[in-house]
Amino acid sequence: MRKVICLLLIICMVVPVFAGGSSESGSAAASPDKPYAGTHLTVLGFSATVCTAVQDKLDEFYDQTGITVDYEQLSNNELNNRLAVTMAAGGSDVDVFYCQPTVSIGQYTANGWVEPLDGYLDEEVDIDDFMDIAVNQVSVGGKLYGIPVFNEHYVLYYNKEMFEEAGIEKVPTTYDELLETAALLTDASKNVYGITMRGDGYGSVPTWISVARSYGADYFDENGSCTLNSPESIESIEMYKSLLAYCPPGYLSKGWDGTSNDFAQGLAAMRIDCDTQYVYAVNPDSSVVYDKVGFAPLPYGPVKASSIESGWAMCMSAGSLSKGAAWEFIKWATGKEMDVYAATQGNFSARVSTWSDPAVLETYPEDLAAAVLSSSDPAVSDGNSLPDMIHASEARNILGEVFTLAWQGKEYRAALDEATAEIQELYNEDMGL
Amino acid sequence: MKKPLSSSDRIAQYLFIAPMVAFLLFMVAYPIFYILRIGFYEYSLSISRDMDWVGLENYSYALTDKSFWMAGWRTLVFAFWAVLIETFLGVALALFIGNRDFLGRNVVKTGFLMPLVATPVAVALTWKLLYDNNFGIINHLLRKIGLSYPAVSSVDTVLSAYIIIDIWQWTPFVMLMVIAGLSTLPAECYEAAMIDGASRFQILRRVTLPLLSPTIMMTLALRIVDALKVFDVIYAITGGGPGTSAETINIFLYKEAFTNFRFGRASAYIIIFCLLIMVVVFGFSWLQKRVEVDY
Repeated sequence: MRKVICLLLIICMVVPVFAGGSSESGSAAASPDKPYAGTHLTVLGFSATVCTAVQDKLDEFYDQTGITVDYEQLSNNELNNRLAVTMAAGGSDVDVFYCQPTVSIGQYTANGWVEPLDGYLDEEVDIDDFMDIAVNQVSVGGKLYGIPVFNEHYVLYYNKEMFEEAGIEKVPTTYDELLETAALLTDASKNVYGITMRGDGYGSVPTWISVARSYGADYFDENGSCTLNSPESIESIEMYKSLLAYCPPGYLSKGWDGTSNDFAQGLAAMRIDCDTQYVYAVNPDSSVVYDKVGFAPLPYGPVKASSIESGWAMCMSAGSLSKGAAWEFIKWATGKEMDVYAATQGNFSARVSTWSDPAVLETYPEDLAAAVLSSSDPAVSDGNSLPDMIHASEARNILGEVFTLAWQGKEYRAALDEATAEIQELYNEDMGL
Repeated sequence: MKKPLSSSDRIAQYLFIAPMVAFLLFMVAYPIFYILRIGFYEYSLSISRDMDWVGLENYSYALTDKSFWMAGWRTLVFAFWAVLIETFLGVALALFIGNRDFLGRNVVKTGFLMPLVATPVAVALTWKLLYDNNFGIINHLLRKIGLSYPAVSSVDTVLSAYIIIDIWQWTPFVMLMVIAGLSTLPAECYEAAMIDGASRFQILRRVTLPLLSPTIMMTLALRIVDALKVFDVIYAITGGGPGTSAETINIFLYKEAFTNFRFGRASAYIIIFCLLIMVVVFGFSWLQKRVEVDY
């Protein structure tokens, strides 16, 4: 008898493990105004304000539509890995996901993992309200693959007090001026530096390209040949190197968090990095210079002013079994109302109308909002932070190694030539050449 | 009185171990064979196409891949210095604390064990702050005497910085093992040595250390395997950077598999690495047999 009980207990313990299973569209009665009531969606998000804002309001979505949502927030790496694995298995486990188009859209569309959204669009979405550059990023071959939710540019942060003390009135508008100003503001004996920029090879790739495009350089030319070792490109690398000379020591291991600290602790007078990190600079809890921060667009190079657009978008899984409900969710989560709410929580919206909403303008410093809008001019932010190719992160790794050499002041030309050839080869592989 | 097992008892026996066996089969044996298999394919998640059988191509690519061998060399350098210094310090500390009775001995012992129980990522973030060029206490103190240690922000010092962390974290483990070993040593040998008039140094050299050698060797083997597998602290502080200067084998493989999505190649590399570790471990146990003493 005891053995029978033991056996039963074991069965009871083991069975639930395998009984997870799926619970597809449900039992709750669907009514005309809630056609998808009872459907269950899985949404994969990343760690950012916009995802938290959407999560805050999930109950409202349920009340409106009767759709239940399983909402996960993952780290960027985890999200990429999870999607690659899920999609390779058919993609039916995920209905909606956030995606960083500059990094992944090439890979995802080439493999048919994302659903084109052109057929779903309606007036309510108002796609024309989005910044052109953000829409361009999620468009491949004339089709729209996602709705932009977040958008990020490089801007110039500066410390008004340090400018005043040094008697500098003009915020630099060209890279030569920037270099001069950085030199003026640097006093290593007092542990004060003119500027702070990313010096970590991998991390500095998008920062560098923001500088490089204003010198007329780019990853590829219009014929698809890699131009990373062009004279313009080398000129911009040299400018970046000269600027690093006025950065606080230890820049070789600094990514955005390192430069953010330098600036917020009053160690550096200027900073080139993403606008979305402004909160660390203006929050009294994390910054000793919180009331002295000014923002400006990136300076002009010899050719033009340039910044990059690095955004996130919401996409639908091509393998989703409940596409209708998934679209309802996307429409709700990217709609104007939600967008304004997320913006007041600190999200950098990709909708133009949001940036003129009074509640939003109250949230952001005036010069920051101005810098964001001028940076999102398609003539300025005319490119992605990473090359448009499937193996974008691998290319970033390769280029990052060259930068590690360059930023140390070592000879890098030969390595740059090699990297150019390697990235060209990857590109050809991606294009099936 | 032990009764022979009835047949239903025997079945119950198997039932009880079945979940564990099933777990090991699914979670250990299957992945290993799977990795062995995909090592022979070109298998990339970047581009979804079927896995291409490429035979030994991944392995032959590995032989000529400079980054792979550089990462391997870095791993060996790291493991060599870290384990060498840990063993030396750990044994010395154990001899000092182990056979002495002083006030607060247990407090000191517990204090030494703290790094051992800390979470790797917490350890990493703490050291990242300690090492920080501008705000870290280490450089703050060094600056006062006119020195500086760029630690993880320079390609020249980054490996040494990680070795220091490893020593801080794992010396207590060596110490703990050796203290345990010390407490099992037979008192007769010491009595005999003392009757023969041996000095304390002689006792240490001729009695304690030889008797401890099996324990030390065992600890060394464990530490070597662990040090060769180093990943978490390095990943959390610089992710193998600056550049590739702290890219150990595991970091290199992680990037190959999970940022470049080349699973076939990464699998072949990990098999090679696994074989290398096995060679080291077998070589070591061969050495161990030579060193052990009979008494």
